[in-house]
Amino acid sequence: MDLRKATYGLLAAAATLWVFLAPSYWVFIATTAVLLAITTLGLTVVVGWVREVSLVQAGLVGTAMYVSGYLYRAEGGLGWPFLAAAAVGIGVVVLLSVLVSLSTARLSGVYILVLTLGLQITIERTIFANLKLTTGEGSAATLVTPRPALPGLSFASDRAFYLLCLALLGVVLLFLSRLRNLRFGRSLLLVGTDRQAAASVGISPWRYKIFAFVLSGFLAGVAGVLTAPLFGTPPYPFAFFAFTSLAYLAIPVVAGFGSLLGVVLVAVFYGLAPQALEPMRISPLILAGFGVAVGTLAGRAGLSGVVQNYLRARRPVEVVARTGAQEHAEPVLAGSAR
Amino acid sequence: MRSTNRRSRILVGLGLVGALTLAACADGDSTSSTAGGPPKAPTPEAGSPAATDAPSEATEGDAGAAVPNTDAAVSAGGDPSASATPGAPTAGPKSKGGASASTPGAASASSPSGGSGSGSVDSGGVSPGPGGPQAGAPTPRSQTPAASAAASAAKGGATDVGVTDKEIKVGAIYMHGMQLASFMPKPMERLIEAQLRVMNDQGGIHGRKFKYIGCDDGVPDAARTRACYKKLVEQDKIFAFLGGLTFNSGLIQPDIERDKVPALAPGSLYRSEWENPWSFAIHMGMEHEAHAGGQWVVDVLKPKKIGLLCLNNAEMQATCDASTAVMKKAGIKVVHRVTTSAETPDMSGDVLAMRAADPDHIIHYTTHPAATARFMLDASQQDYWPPKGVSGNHMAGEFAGALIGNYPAKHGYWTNTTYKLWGPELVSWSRKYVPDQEGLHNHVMQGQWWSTNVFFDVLKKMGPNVTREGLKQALETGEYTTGPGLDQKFMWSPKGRNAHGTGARREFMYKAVHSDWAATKDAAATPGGLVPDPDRFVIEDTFD
Amino acid sequence: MSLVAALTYNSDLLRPALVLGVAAAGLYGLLAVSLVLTYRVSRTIGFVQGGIALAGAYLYRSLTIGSEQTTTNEGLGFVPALVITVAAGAAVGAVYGAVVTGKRMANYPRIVVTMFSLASLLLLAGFSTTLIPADEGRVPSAFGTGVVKIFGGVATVHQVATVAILLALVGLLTVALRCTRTGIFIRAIADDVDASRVVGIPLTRMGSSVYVFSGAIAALAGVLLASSVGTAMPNILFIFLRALIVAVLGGLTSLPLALAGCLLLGVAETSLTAGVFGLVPTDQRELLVMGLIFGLVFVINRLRPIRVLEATGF
Repeated sequence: MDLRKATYGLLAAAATLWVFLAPSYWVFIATTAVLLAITTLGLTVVVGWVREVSLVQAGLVGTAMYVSGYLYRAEGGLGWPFLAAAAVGIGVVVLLSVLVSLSTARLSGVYILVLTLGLQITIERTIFANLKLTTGEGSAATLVTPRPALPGLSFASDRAFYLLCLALLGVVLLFLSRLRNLRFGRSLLLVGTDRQAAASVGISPWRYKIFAFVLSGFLAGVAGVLTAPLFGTPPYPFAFFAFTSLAYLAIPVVAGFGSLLGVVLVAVFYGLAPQALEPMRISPLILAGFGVAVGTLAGRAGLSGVVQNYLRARRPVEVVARTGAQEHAEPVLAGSAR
Repeated sequence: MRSTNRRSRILVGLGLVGALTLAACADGDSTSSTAGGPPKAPTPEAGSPAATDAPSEATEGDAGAAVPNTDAAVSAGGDPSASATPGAPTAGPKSKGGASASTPGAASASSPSGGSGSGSVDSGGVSPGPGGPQAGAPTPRSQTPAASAAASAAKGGATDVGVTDKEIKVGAIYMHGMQLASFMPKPMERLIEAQLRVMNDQGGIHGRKFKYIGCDDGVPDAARTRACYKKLVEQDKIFAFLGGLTFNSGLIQPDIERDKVPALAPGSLYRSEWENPWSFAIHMGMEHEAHAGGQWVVDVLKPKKIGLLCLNNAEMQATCDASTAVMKKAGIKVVHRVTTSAETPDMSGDVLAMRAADPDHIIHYTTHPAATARFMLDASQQDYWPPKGVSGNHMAGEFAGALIGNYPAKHGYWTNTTYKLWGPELVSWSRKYVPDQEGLHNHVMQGQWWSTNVFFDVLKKMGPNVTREGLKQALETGEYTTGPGLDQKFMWSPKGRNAHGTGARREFMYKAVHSDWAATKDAAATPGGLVPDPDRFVIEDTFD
Repeated sequence: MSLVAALTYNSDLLRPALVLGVAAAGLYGLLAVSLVLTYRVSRTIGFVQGGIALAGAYLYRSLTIGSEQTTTNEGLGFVPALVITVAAGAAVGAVYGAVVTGKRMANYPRIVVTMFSLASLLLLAGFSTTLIPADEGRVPSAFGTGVVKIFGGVATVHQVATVAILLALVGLLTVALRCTRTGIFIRAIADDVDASRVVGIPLTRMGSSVYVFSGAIAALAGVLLASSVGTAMPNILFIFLRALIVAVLGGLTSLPLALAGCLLLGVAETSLTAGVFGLVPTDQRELLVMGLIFGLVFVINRLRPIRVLEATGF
């Protein structure tokens, strides 16, 4: 087994086993970081692969959270089964993503950026302002969304819920890495790299961009429907305002689009660092700004690009020659740089 | 290549199965705070509008685990040794027939009464009068000092979570990442830390010194708020929460109730902090403020139509609904209601709409002084002010007057607040021990300072056998008064949390005369620019 | 109440709403101008301008009022404080420009540079709020407290002055971009960077100059906002995001269209809020305003040459 697989295996084992030793509040924070990773992996598809910018990801996560939470909880909600509520929550944000993506037929670049920003602000002023969905009507409302349960499996504890989210993250990572190596995925990448070249070989940029936005919305929805039961009492809407969307965007950029694992690691760091540095009482703005500045200054391909260049430089030439034929077959989580 | 792919798939599949198996086995782990499922919402019966009572003396008891003490003197010059804050009022339960900290023209709250004379609380000794513990409810176990000491010694001083023979751990969550951190969370935390420090310098209580652990939840960030809670309760194992200010405090109320952690002097921004039996709020609930303030408007200003300015969150919308109910009952029309958000930069359109609706008076419920100030400044710029002025809550901060300028004072502005401003004992104490607090006192800080003193007194009277349950029972027993400086009292028994004549329903109405609301330099420490309303200073919610 | 049923027309409110709406446009205008200038030379969103505006507001406040709370007036006069603040904004713009046009970042993908710009905003906001604690009060305006009654509406002298400054600046810049050598260079860079390099236009110097000038404008915006909305970080950043949205009306390349966008937003928002068309609930108001702006974006996009509008992506 080569070094890369061993590294992945070790990371997976560490990510799974550490919770049995860690205090509960770290498990909780790590779960939020895992959900953040799922969200930003979705963003990577849009920003990194098809090269459009979306500033509505936080709004979509919040929408899925509130809609599914309202449908799922019995008190202050409709008491639906969790999977049905989740499906509707995800469906709503996928629909919003489709609406945005339709405009990519005519617009691109800065227009899509601002359109998504406009949608984010609209969500804040409409969906998030609906008290029935979000915090409940009346000041006495303290809504509690219970953790879901599958037959024989309960996720009531933080540890169990973390492992569930981690498993989902693993599925998402595998799916995206497989997708990228399929013909469909390569078409997506081509649309982002050179739209005209894609069109000239019969690939419809518009259709693929729609798919990218749909996939991004889907992953935001998955993260959102898991956020409600994670917190129990849903966070107030200001946790999903426009600047949170900007922060989400920074993660795949800092990580670099070439590595899905890099996005996950940066997201996890972003989730854990503020709590780790809490005793220092540093302004969250300074902390975030410093992190993003370092990440962007590190290199044009992000932090993962720096790591990949370093590893590539250390690789013996004979190994490259010997394994060259097999490179394409590797389960690539750290993809080749474009 | 094919075999490599198959092997990878098998490994991944095994990994997933393993993860799910671990997830199933991980349920019920001891480090989890959600074992048994997420917490339920706080039980609402304590704050139920139906449960109104007249204030009455709930119980009395001897020193020890139960607090009520018949000789608690409520005066500004209380026994200094009984408090960590020399010169501060002794905060303790009011004795039957003792001096009532009433003010001239006070609302009809009768002084606490009922029950037998001084004596300990023991089984059957509690008179089940209104506001007191109900018959059949557990009575505070009485312990003599010797018994308390023996009980503590038997446990090696570790009488409960967060308590050892040497220290008591307390904690709080503050949103230090908010923009106004230097004006609200930081000075509030500084004040409580100073109180704890002074108490430690005096030797602590029963040989135990206080260890304070603060946690910063950022702007606030919901994930960090919850992580702070878990850290303080599960990792640091604090005995109780003391103080704190975060917009996310409502999120953790179910956890506080589930984990049975006393939360003293919370920010009191949410009704759930009143309804949670483990939370001991120190500021009047918003809906009661709406009723009390609304009734003042009806009786004193007598408008025919009013306008409302409300923040777009559940608490403030409910508060505005409560105000609307008062107006409706009095036959006063609500002609326009503005719903605003904290980040709205320009309210001139709302001012224009309000002007067109032409209310006689406007009432604001926005929690955040800056949001209220924005409307008032835009209104003053358009030279618009309703003929009978503007009133509202949550503006009682020394720095808030300067935010709105002199226009409101010139044209009529009132604000209601839970404590008399600013409290000579508080101001003199903070001038001595925390000089940086000058100009930064606010109504929540008043309550937190006083409540910290209550905490000290209760612990002293409990004796060495300090327990969470004992603290809760002690706080639920009797009436706690601030002294004439702050002139307020609270009862935290299930029925007392809604009692008339206490801070749950009784407040003070101040009229603005100019924009400098800072405490005067003399000992009275009154706000120069705010004076007691000459028509009705003490207001009360008698609406429900 | 449905939107259709709610719509009525209150003519009495129209003129005052127009006046206030135009005044509100002044809040967004200067930031939109600095965003357009930055975008033209770099094809990146200049989030740093929002940070400069915020820092400028705080700096101006600390120089004039001179204390934490809006109670005293112990500082410098308005003019020296304005000069220092604008100079500081220009300096920050220069530093930022030097970094992004320097050897390291000059060839970075645009999305990375945009994120660096965001990082700059966060750092400026963080340091401002940490080093200059300030309540959210408004700084007394350099133009005094007078009001002007226009067509039944009331605007402050400060608001009128802000709009006048905005109009003058847009006019001057439009003329400068068309008629001066520097302006032509900037337009050339905006149209085709490679061709500009080939013909010998000093890209780095031009780019840096634009960043300096944009920084100065953003700082001026902060000074004016300090008196309009106060040193309120959420409000200033909200205004910045709105400015970004309206500037897209012209594809972030046209100053006149950005100005038009600001006017449209200001007037539409104020009219709907004031009740010119009846009492429209807040959520529906937002949908209407956003729908109007993006509807116009589509229309203008169809009418203007594609080449001018097309962003080259990241």
